[in-house]
Amino acid sequence: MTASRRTLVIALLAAACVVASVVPPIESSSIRLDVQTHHLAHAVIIALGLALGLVIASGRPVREEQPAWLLAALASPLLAMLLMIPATYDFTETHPVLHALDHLVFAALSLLTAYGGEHYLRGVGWAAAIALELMAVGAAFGYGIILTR
Amino acid sequence: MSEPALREDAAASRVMWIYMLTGIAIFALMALLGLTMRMGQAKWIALDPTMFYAIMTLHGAGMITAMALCGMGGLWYLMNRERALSTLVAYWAYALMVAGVVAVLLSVFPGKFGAGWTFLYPLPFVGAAWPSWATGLFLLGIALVNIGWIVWCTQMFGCVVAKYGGIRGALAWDLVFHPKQFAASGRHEPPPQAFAALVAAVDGLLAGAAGMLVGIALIVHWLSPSIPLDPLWAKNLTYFFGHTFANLTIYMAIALVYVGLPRYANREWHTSQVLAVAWWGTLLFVAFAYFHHLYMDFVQPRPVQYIGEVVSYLAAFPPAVVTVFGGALLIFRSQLRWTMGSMFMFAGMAGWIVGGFGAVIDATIDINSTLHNTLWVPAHFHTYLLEGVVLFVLGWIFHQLEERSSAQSSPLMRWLVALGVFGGGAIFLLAFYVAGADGVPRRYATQPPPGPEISAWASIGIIILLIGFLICLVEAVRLARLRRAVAP
Ligand code: HEM
Repeated sequence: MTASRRTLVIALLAAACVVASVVPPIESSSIRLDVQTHHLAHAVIIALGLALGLVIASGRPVREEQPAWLLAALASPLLAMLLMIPATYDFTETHPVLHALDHLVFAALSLLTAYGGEHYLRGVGWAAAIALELMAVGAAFGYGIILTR
Repeated sequence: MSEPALREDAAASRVMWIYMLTGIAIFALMALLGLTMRMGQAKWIALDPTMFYAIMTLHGAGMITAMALCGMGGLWYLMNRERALSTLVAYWAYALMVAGVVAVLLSVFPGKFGAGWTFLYPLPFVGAAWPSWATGLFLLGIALVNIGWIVWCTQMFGCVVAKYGGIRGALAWDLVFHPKQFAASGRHEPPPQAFAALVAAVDGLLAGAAGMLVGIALIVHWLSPSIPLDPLWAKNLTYFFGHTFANLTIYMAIALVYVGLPRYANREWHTSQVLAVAWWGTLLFVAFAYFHHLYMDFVQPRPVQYIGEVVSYLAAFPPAVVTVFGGALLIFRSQLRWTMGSMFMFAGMAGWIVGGFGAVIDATIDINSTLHNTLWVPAHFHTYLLEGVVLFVLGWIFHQLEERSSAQSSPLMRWLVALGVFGGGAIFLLAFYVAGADGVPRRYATQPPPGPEISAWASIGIIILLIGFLICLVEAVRLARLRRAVAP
């Protein structure tokens, strides 16, 4: 990817992250989502944040281990999943600004997951990104909801 | 073409020994708990059921973690010879896992947490005979073990991807599909142990993610019980994590045999196209084999049950047809040097096959409806864990001690150890199989007949087995204290 194209992709992904994080909570503050849809909405924001992190990191592939970045790559998904507590959804849905901020934190943590992974060692960001996205989507099928009876 | 030079360094060797010796120490402690359980079931000692289930929980979690630690240390050491790895990261993983073990230990002694090492939702929370803090501490402990495991898997993943040119190189894709171009390119195929590292890393990361998700959900549920969890969802994630983690201990430990056994046979264990494809199969099958734990769950989608059966069968092929048969060919007419190291490695492969056979039988849906949750289940997994993984690890430890000291054990010593470890082990395992086939349930502190009688035989077997291990320990210490015959 050329440098200018990369910059464009980064700008587009960053804009998509902000829009996906901020617009729905503010614009549709009267709508109450069920837990599953809410989890999935988070998974979309997380996917965008991960993609952004991977593209930013792609400029300078790291070939020797940078252990400090591993901490970032592993602590961020952990924090992101800890933030996806279903019990908080009712509260955040009635506080649009807080809700939007919450989403921005998801995006930032996802970015850090992918970026940190790639900065630890090339290729690891992808693995960390796939793992976080799987967890985010997986949560929608049983965390805070009972689907099978 | 000459093989690439291998790196050896003292710091890496220290990492390996710290992991392995910790694993062995935990193993020894858990083995004593195993004996306590069997003696309780035999009514030789009075064991309060609450205590039995607490011990059972600790034994399961402790043993699996112990074997994981041994495999992780060994494979880390082998991969460090291929590409320099950060010891700092290895110590982080180690520290997290040990912290997890301590937390689990405290949740059982004094907490008496006893929901089984599989902590199947909602068992940890419903009708608990232990305080709530013990549940939280246990879940935290398992989470720490899992995070340590994820750190290790991430490092392994980075290592194989960086060393062999991405996932494609690590899979030896070009060796399989473009062998001529591959040979002409001058590249080296990954050695057999690198496939073990790749599979452990990829399947381990997937399982780790599942474990992290369900772990967080359970901890959140523990803090706030009004948050519901879907039991089938939790069961799938828990078994995907637990079964895969336990299963991978074998695949990590076999890497030690790939490197150790050829030294005794004076031959090399090469990466062939068949070996590469076999490991691709393992990569896939290990991820889906856990479905066989959910045969009894009528709400589980039906196609998944069939996948579980097919994959469980297929999972047996790569180890049996490629690794164990390959191992047999490696030593056939090689005038193998029989030492403690080679004896353990060879016997371990036999244990793997026997236990694997028991597993495939149980993974057959028709048979499973009879054997499910009987002692047949611990029978088969103890066969390939105790008489497989543990032996691979012991084989490697003795291999290292023998190389360092340039000394070997006497034939009498080998016979004594073999009688104890294989003879006592066989009695212990046979008791599980016989009881299981007779319908004695697993996880029962007080068993229906003929359980207690068979448990008594098992206890005798365990005592013989433990004597064998004790002799082994004495011999290992003797070898460790011998100085190198040749100057370093
Ligand atoms: C001296 C060796 C060992 C002895 C005496 C022993 C004994 C036992 C006994 C009596 C049980 C309970 C069976 C039941 O009634 O359900 C058990 C369960 C178990 N053991 Fe072992 N065992 C030994 C080695 C191992 C090893 C090497 C591993 C794994 C690496 C292992 C992993 C487990 C697991 C996962 C369970 C199931 C716990 C549960 O049901 O929650 N054991 N063992």
